Amino acid sequence: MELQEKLRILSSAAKYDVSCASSGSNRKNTPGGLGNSAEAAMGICHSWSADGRCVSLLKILYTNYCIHDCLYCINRRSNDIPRASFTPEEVTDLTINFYRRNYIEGLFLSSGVIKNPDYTMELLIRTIKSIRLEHNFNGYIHLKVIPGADRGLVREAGFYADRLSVNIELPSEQGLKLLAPGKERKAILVPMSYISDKISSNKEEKKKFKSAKSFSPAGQSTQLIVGATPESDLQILKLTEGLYNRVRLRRVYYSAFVPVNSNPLLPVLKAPPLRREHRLYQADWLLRFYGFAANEILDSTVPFLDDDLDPKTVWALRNLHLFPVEINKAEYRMLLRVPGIGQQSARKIITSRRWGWLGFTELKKLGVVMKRARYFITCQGSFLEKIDNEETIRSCLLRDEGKKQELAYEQLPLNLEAGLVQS
Amino acid sequence: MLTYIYDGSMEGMFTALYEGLFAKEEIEAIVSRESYMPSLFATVKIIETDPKKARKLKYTLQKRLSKQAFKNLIYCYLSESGMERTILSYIKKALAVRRKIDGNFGDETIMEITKTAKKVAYEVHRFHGFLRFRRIYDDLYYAPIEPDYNILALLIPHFRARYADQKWFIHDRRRKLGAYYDGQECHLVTLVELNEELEASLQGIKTGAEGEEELFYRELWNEYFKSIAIAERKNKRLQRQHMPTRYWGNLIEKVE
Ligand code: SF4
Repeated sequence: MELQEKLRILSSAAKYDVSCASSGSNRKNTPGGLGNSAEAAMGICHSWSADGRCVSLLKILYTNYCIHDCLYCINRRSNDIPRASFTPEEVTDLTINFYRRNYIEGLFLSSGVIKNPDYTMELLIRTIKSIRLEHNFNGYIHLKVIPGADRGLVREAGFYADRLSVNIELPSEQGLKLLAPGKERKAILVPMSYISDKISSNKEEKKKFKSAKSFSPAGQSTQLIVGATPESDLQILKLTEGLYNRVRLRRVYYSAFVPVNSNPLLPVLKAPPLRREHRLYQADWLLRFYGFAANEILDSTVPFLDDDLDPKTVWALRNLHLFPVEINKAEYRMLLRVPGIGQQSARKIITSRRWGWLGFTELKKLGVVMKRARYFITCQGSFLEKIDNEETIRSCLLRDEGKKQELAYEQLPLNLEAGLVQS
Repeated sequence: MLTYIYDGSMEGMFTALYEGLFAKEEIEAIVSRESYMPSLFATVKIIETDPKKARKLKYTLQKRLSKQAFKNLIYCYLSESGMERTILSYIKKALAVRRKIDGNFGDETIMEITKTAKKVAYEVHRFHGFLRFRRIYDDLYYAPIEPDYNILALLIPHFRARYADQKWFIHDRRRKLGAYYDGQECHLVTLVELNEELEASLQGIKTGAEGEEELFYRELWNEYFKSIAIAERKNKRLQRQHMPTRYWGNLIEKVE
């Protein structure tokens, strides 16, 4: 089979994995070497595909043959689709040549399982080793760990990859049993915590010995499929919170379920739940950068995120007793909780108010979204608009949003992506 | 009311700013020769570039301003968007007080400088991604660009660090400027013209400038670009928002 054909099959098969970030590593170029992933500040996007997603890495499967039969997956064993496998040389060649032309930041390599997890994992390792060692490549490599692979192999992979990830895919054990009969939850969680421990101990080691090799320096991430199984947003956010706090994951990605197969066990959807996915990213942001806990955002009485308003606004409406916030006095922590104020504008408020009182005109200049913030703040004691009824504010906000059903992606605003640095 | 006209160089601008700081009259505008539009009512003064004055002012600014604030001024100059007069106001404000003024975003001038500098920085960031090399004449990686702002010099550090082992040439087609890295050092070149063959291959005509290998990888990249989009999630509006059409011309992939 020609390389072109293989590339078409194996990139198309990989596209449902939504993670794409290439930031957070700090691999410098070496003398005579090629590339770096040193620019930790923001992920670089090289292009944007027709679905509005950032193209940063060459995202491919090594093979789309698979011994498993996961119901939601296009590559499941029982599907009758064209199949292909790369060789390590082909992947290397594509990566290096794309990279030299500045098409990509690096490689994101994943795979279906051939023969058994160890066999597959060995092929993946052989590939990234050749890229690193034979071509002195210092660009970004994200490697997907095959669940069930031997711990020694996971360890080896971590020394050549910038980021490792194990996809949880289905947010609950029941979901996994139902839709991914060949996979065990244990086979996913065990390598995750192993990687997490390795990363922390490697950090300690690097503090003592500068020359120690980095282990997965850009951390680990995972992906959850949203809407294939009946879990609530609350369950998903709780899981996410645990992953951030206990397994110290760098990122959790959410992927709106795209029904590629039909099966009585799968839900019938008109379109992928993109809005829900978007709201989950917003809530995720609140967990990571805005000091929120999952049970502040949702609880058992309201287990799903609001369709019409973003989760921070919804939280503020439920907690009107904490408002209004006086802009000239409030702490950073509290400023962050005001709808319409982001991290950047909160920081600017803090530095600017040292120079004098801030009024509403200044706030606007600082980038505060006034149409949202107006109901929740005062400047020197006065309101722009005083309404203290939850329902009225809600309907005003909805009117202003103009119901513009904006479907944004998580990589969307630049300042959001910049937030990655702090993670 | 006075308009200063300088030669367009950075040195020239700093000389004009230096003069401006000491001028008794109100200065209405500072413009480069190229962008000056004659007007009946303005009194003009031609500023002769004086490297000594320029250096002196730069030195003072570097001492008194934060690193970021100084960088912002340079970025505003490179924006080529008529920021000179605002830069003068900024400098006056900054030198009038002992404190560093960058945190005062409530101030109009400071906000405007910060905003413009951000736009330039954002374009630099974008071009770290949007720039495409084509391998020509066997061993040179050539990339044409047409940025809104004059960012060529700002692109060099990134590409130099990343592609230290290959020769490359980044060409700002609009400004006829080039940055050539010979594998050791980087040189800035002005008045760049392409030969006919290369010009033709940029128009998509097959010439001897690009080898089979180049066309092969370009084809593969296009294949990849097409196949990674998820049809069910199609969102052209979002695609355009991130990758405005004005940047498409120099990409390798065919965006539709
Ligand atoms: S293991 Fe399951 S999800 Fe992964 S490729 Fe195979 S069938 Fe698809």
